[in-house]
Amino acid sequence: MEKTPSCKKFRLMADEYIEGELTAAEMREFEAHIAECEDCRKEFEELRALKGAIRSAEEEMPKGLHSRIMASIEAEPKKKPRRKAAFFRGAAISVACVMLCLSATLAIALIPMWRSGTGGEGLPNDPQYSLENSVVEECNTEMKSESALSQPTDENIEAEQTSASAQDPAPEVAPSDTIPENTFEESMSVAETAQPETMIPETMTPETEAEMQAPAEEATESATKDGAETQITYQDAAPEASSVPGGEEITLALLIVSGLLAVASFVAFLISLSSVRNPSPKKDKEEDQ
Amino acid sequence: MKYENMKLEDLLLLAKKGDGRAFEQIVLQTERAVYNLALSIVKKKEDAEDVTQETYLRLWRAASELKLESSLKLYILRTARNLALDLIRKNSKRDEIDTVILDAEGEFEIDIADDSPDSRPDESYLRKIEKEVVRQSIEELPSAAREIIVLRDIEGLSYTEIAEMLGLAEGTLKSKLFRARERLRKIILSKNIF
Repeated sequence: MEKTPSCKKFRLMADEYIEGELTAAEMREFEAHIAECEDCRKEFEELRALKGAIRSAEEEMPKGLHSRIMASIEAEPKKKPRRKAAFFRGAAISVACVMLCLSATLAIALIPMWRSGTGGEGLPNDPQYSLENSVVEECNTEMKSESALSQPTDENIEAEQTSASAQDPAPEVAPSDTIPENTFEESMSVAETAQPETMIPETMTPETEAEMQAPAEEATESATKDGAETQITYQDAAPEASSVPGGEEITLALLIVSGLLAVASFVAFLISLSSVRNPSPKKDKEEDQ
Repeated sequence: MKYENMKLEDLLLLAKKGDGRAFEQIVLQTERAVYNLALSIVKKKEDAEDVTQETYLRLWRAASELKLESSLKLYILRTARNLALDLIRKNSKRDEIDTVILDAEGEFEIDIADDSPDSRPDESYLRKIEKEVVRQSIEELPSAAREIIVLRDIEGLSYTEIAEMLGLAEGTLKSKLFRARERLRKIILSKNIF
């Protein structure tokens, strides 16, 4: 088979094929070529024989050379690593002591503060916070009472239902005991559900309808007014309540930090101790000498 | 801790802290390559031993502050190469062929000492001849060719590693290696022993 330009490429690949440096695809390509090209196959065999001969001609290590190498290294003085190790040991111990002192100081300063701050309810003993919080509570109380007044009571609803059902059965209204007596928004929704539309039977007279609508409207209006005032009051109170700083949280965070510092200093101390107790065998030999 | 299974770079990290056993493992894994490379350059066994010893002394001294840019094996071989080249510059460059005597007809006699420290009792005499012929043929190569053949065919370094070590492009290296092998083949065939 005549040599082709690709033969040059495969001759260069032959060395890498013998060393196992070709990819799987390249190996298949090379094997396919030498199966077809007699010249390339012959050169490949010669190269493989030559490389084998070269490898067998490798010089053996002279006896005793390894021992002489290690003996010369054993005789070498080692100063810099020991000085460096001692320096880092000292630095680690110093850092450990500083961190321990910091954590102890923080703990001594903060624990009493945290204890005095956490009274029966765990709230910080801040007069400003207590005052503003009581204002908020009062507002909530007022809101509850006013919403209760504006909200149709169970008795009123039942009475209306009874009068309405006497003329024509009205759709059932959900019992008021399922209506929660909570915030102003919920009372509004209750008032809305108590609209005359759902409660007014078709056969109700306009007069009765007007009577029923009026209290509902009045209730809605008064609830709106009061709710707005209450809301305003509440809103005025809310920013103040939210502006109270979380002293408790800060104290806790600082305590946690001090605890972490203590742990880190303990770890640093252990590390420095381990390097003191476990020196290298070489160091031991030098120290013995 | 099994030092035998650790990589050279990991062993170096331990040696930096003064672990003598880790350093000894580095020596065990690389000393043969260092010795062969040194021998391929300086040709004399005694000089090759000196170069090998000095290579590891320098590595031990520099270990604590050593920052590798490539593999540790390459660093060690590069150090050995530089030391061998320095030694050649100091000593005479005359080659000494002690074991091959070429007579007038072109035939030759090979003096193989059976009691030499390198000979193995299990090898056949013919095998010893072949090895010695190849070895001497390698020594007759130019220094650069010899070096490349040792690094590639004896130590099995990759083209990339050898190119990095010698500061050559891979294409140039492949061409040099091809020519070195061709030349070696001709030298071996010229011995007329096969």
